[in-house]
Amino acid sequence: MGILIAKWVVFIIVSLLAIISSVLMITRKSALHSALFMILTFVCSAVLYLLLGCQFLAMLQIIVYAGAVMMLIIFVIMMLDLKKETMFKTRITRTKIVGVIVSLVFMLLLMLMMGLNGIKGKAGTLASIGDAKTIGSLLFTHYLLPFEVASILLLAAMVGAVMLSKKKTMEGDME
Amino acid sequence: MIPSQAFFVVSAILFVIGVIGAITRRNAIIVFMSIEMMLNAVSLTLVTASSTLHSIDGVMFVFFVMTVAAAEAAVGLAIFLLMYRRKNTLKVDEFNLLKG
Amino acid sequence: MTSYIWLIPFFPMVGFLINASIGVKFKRSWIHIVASAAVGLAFLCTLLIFVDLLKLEPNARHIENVLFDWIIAGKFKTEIGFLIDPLSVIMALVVTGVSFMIHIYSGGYMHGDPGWRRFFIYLNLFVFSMTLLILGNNFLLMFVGWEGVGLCSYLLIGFWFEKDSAANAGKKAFVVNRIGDFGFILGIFLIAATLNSKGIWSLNFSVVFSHAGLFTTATATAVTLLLFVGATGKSAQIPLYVWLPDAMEGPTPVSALIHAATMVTAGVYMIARCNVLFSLAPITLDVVAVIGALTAFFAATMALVNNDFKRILAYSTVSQLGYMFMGVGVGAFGAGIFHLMTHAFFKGLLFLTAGSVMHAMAGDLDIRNMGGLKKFMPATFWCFMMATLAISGIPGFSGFFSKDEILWQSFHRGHLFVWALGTIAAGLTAFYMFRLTFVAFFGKPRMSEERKHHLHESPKVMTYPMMVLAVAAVVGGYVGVPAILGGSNRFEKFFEPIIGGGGHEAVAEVAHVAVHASHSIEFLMMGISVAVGLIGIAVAYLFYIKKPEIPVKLASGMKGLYTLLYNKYFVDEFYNGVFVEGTKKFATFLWQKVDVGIIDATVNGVAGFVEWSGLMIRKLQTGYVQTYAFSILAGGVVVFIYFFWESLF
Repeated sequence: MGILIAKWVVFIIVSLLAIISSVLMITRKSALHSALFMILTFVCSAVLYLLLGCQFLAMLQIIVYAGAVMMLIIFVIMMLDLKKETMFKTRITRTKIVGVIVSLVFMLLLMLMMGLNGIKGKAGTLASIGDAKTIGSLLFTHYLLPFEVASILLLAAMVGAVMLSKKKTMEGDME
Repeated sequence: MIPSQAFFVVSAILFVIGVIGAITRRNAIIVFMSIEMMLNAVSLTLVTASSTLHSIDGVMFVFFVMTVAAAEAAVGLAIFLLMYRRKNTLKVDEFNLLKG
Repeated sequence: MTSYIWLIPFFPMVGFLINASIGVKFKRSWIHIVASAAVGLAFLCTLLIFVDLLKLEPNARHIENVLFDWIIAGKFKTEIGFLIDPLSVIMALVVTGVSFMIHIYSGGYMHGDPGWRRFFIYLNLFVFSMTLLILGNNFLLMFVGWEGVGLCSYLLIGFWFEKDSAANAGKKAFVVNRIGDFGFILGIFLIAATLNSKGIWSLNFSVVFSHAGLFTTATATAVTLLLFVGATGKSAQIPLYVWLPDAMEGPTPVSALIHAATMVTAGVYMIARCNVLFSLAPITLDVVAVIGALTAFFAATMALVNNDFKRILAYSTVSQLGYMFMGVGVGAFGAGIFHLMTHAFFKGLLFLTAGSVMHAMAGDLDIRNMGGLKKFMPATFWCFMMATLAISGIPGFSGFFSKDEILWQSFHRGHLFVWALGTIAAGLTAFYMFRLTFVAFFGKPRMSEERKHHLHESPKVMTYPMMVLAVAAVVGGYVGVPAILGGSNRFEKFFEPIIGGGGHEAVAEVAHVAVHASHSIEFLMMGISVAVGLIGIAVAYLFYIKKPEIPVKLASGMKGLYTLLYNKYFVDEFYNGVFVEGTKKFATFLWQKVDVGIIDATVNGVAGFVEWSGLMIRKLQTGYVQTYAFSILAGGVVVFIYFFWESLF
């Protein structure tokens, strides 16, 4: 009983933190500030994963998302001199207002649908979904093909990123 | 247990905040981060479903979503570099070459 | 030899193909030799076949030679096949014989022309088409030949197409012929439709004519009238004669071959071939006779005052074709074909002499600039004289026998109106032909000194064919000397089997009117026509040799009539004003109102609507990423609302 209450408390605090920081993230002028709030949101998500009993993904979330991906983003922000990008205000246009309203309608619909109906589907038999052993063994058996495909995807992304960010040299400029 | 609906509501809110960020901000990097936020919200939904149904599929989905997000980040940020080199800005409304 | 009928069209076709393909590499003389030899061989074949045919019994003189099936459509079947009977063999002899002479003649006349090879290709193609027309054993093959000669006529009239007048004349001939051909093919359709409904699925002459009894009088009249429309177009009868005078823009051998001797007689041949059908329709026969007589008369009057050597001959051709139609119209098919044959000789010859004169006069054809040519070109003159005497109906020359036969037949079959017009036209013919002779060949030379200096007789390659034709023009008539003059009219006898072929009684009745008119009347008629001809000659002599001031006085005295005749009754102007301008106005209306106003407007309207809606829709494509994101969102909302709705109910 006490554990449940504790879980609820953690859940509420973490959820609120995630929502607040994500709102802050989309409202900051500076991209760097946004990125920092983004990390906070991701960390909160990791905590929510923990609450759901999924320790492995929580770790992954922190290492891959909050760590690597956000690192990359911050790196790019630092590389580009985005000072003047922070100077302009968010321009408010009709499309954006309508967009926000429609988004809110969308949210209401989502909450109605999911909140009222909950989740339906074929229940599995796993006792634990969070430990690395279960995930690992499935990944190398049942999900082997997607796993390999994902590795090719990553390779392609790597090559693509290098190709794109490389400075173009003209044929004649070769030294 | 905390009912799954609570997690769904949180993920819906996070998703819509991501949507609003993506369609209102002019800075391409913030738009990109908003999209990551939407991915994250979806991941949360999937994990919730996985946990509720005692099935590993949702987790696996999240695993691959993360992979894709990482790849997307690498390529996307490289594209931002190119954009910046070309126009010296990252305002998304400066890029409208596809205008009809 | 009779199983080799197909050789007759085959040789000109080979000549055409050789000259058209490898002829490029030939020397000029070779092209001429190939073309002439092709026609010469065809003539030889025709002669051999003719001889073979003569050996047969009169009633067995009908040989068909089927090569292969041509069109098979359901039950309907028609083949490529050739037919030899007295009618087609006479036509083939005339066509290949005259063609042969004219091919040789052309070697001199067209000397130095840059279109040399083209000319002989067309000529061979013409002979091929003409022999197809004559020898085809069914209506469709005849139609192919009919169109083929029309095409060649068009090509050869417009042979010197750099000249506007030649190109226009070609077009005129083509368009006017189109009207006639339309009637002809409608007639064929009607024949086919009538027979098909009775279960006869063929257009072979022998089949059609042996089933002539299936035609009611009304159908037969409709069919024959339609066929006659075709004949008026091809054979230049009222009202479609207008193209023939203009066709004189073509080279003179062409005028001689196509527009005098052969192609224009195709209509007469066709009517003679279909005599069974025509005999079933007395109304059509009357129409044919009257149209023929009117054409003979009016064309002759138009020739009276013309000053163009070849145009006078052209009107004369129209007039003589009128005689032939008179002949077939009154039911004397043999007489019509007889005149066709003699006409081919003397009119072909007249044109060849015209070409010879033109050759000497450096292309000038105005008879007012000639005069005294007799001295300079004796051979040409004498040939011309033979032909003129023949056409004027002077006893002893071929034209006398044939023309007199027609006039006599029309008289004793009771067509007095036709006879009267024909007789007057005979007088007019004699008059204008001798006017032409006196003005061009007698009197003082009126051309410039320089041109007079250059006057010369034509080369032998031209004069020899003329002489051959001159002989034919004189003696050609003796195959048909009427019984009354001590002859046996072998031509008529030779011809008998094809008349009313199929043994239909009604046909026989019309064709062999058993009239035993007394000989005295026949002599009287002959005397009248000879007298009329002599009067015509005398008047011409009086006008143009004795007292040249009379025609001038007459022209000023009867200004109205003179202007009317000189302008050919303003028929060209009338056709131009009514049909050409009317068509133009109608076409302009269709173009500006219907096409631009309705069709183009509809098409442009559709295009305009697409353009407008494209302009509207393209505004959605802003190029801003966030607008697209919003669209995705909106779409998602719609999908969600749908599912929500579903889940509620």
